[in-house]
Amino acid sequence: MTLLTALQRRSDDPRRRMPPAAVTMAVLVLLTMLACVLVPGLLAPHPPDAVVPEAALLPPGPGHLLGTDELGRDLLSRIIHGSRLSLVVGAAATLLALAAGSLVGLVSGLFGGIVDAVLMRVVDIMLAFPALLLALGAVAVLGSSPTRLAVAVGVSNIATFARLVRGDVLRVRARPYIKAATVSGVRPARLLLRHVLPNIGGPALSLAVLGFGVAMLESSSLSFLGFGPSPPAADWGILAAAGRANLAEAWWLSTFPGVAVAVTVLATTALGRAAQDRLAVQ
Amino acid sequence: MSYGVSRPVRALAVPAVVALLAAGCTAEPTSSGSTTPKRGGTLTIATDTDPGCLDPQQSPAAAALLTGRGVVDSLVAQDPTGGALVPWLAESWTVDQRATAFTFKLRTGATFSDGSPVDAAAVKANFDRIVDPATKSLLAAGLLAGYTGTTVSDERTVVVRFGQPNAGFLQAASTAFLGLQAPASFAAGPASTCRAVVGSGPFTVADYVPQQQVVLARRAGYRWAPKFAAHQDDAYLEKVVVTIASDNGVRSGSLRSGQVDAAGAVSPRDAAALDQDGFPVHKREQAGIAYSLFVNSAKEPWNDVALRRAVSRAIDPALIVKTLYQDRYAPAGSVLTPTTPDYVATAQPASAAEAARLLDAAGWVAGPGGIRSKNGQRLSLRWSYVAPAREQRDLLAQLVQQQLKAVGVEVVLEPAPVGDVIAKQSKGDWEMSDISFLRADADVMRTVLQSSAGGRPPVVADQALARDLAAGAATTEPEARRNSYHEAQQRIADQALAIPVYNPTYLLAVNKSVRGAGFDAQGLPQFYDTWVDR
Repeated sequence: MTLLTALQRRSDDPRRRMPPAAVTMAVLVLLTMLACVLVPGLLAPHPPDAVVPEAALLPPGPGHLLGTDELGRDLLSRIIHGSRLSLVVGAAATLLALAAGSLVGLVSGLFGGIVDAVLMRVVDIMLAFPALLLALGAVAVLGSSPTRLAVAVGVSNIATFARLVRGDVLRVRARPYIKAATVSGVRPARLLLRHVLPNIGGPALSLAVLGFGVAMLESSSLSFLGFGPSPPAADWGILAAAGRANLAEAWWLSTFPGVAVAVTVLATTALGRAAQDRLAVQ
Repeated sequence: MSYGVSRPVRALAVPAVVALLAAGCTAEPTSSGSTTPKRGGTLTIATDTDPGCLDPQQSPAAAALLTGRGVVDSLVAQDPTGGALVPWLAESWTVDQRATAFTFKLRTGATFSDGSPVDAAAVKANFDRIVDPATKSLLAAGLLAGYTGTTVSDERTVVVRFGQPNAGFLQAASTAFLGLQAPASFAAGPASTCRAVVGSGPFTVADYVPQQQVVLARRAGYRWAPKFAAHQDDAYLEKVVVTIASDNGVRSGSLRSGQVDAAGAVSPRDAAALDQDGFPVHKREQAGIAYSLFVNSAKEPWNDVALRRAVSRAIDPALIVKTLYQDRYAPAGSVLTPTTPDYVATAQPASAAEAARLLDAAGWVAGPGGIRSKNGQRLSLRWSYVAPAREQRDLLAQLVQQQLKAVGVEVVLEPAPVGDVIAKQSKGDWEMSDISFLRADADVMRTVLQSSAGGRPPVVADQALARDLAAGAATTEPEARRNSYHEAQQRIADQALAIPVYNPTYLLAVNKSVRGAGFDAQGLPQFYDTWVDR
């Protein structure tokens, strides 16, 4: 399911809206994640890189809540420290996609004609490929580092935002007040900033919240495939990948980083859906 | 596949299982089974890598040796215990004073599996083919460095000549890399021998499906096994199926579930578990270059021997093998492994304090973040290593990074595909690198570590070392060779040109019906003396 169809299936039916408890949970989860990003040192029980050979591959227990890896490093501490890479890369990628996508969408929707045709054919081509495949191609060309990872994932999601924003621009442009503004001689730049942008921001922002979860999932997937930051820094994708070798005897190594990704993506999705619900009501 | 069992069948199945259990209780434990080798049967073994090309004259892969050893015989054979060179296809040989001319007298009666005789002309055809650029040999041609030609004196006598001393050739001639293949099989070009090697060995290649399996079939009438083999005559096994499973868990899992009889290249952690569950684990330290780290002595500031010594003392091999390999691999004692002839222990105990003292004395002082610097330059090492890594070498890199950080040396890790790593190293664009290499002769230091002898990076440039290695290659006198190679190993340790970490060790787990499992001199499983008791 693509982001666009998720957004288009707005819950007009009140019974299908996000229950308030789910939204509260989502906010709590995201606040916890935010705390992990800002002050990992305070929350993590151990240093993330402290090697303790005697404590190798301990299952989850009192001393190590989520167990330890092959080098005796505390998994919980590594997940907490890894949150910074995973979440910041996800956020940066989303911001990039939002900014660049909105620009393309605005230009396309406002100018129309040949500009619109060319831009939208490019967007069509980009939408024809799965975003992860695009990101994979981009990162293979750019090389691997957190910045490049964010750029690759961001670029791969531009098309989604561009398509959404263009549609909204077309919708808004047909409104009488825009026509009135045009007739009264408002300049295109002012028209864009004062009259168009405020009226299309909502859907794009709620898509961005949804998109953040997807971007994080994508960046974790790329890390999992070996395009992540270099060791010993480890985001959740790298942690999950590293655990594969010992999956049979140490299930926790891949499971908990995977759970961290899943919980965060679920929380952002819930929040994104809640934002849509509010917009739909308005 | 369906797991559902329909009702009538289930009713039958229960008594059948009970009957089986009862039979299992009364049966003799398999360990006290027959000790007389049984003929026939199939051995299925799971290994980690696909050889890509089965022809050891072309492929440098250990996987090509594993299957190749059963198919091709060599002029001489190396005894896995002691490393002595004994007759095989050659019944005797002489070497001239300068180690440039090797005269082999071939045994009579040996034939290739296509029926053609193993004669002097075949030897010449093989060596000429290996050095022919069209063969694209990646390793075998390096073993023949300086080859000027083979002279056929009579049907059973050949002289192999070199332009420069090459005392290591005799041992090299015992490897499957220089094993003899039927000259008729060369006609169809190098690509065809990649799929099917024709040799004079106890097995023939019956089938090869890349990335899946290699099937070897027993050859009747094999009468020329080397003396140290546990038996003469045909191989016991009728068939050997080598299946390829790159995942550690899949190999040990297949052994547990009975899908295979043996699992090769088992991880130390799996080996411990398999051992406990009653699967015997055979272990052999491989001969050649121990897994070692190299610091580029051609680069500033690492041309300073004090810095290299500091790095070498800061790394603690004993802690590394304990953490990663549960002491199933031994910490390296020299750049050569102990199973390599002319090995001498050179390792000094790790000491972070001594490393710190050396760095202090060289004027490198700790700055922000604990990393040392001098004149504004950070003490940092870039290390590009192959990923995905085998033997947990990726985790090893992180351990080394930690141990060096503790003394104020930063290590920047760059995991990369094997092609990228080699490309960078061949341009000299490296600061730290790692390697291990399989070959049961001290001459491996010359062929692998020295660019002049065609060695691939990491290359060690040191005049005194080059002299020692050249001296070792120039004499066949055991005493003189030993002295040269002992000196070479001491020099490498003293100048910290290589930092040996662990001795690569082949762990072969088998089920209880597999008997006579063992290793060849290179440390790879052999199949000739193996049999199955069932």
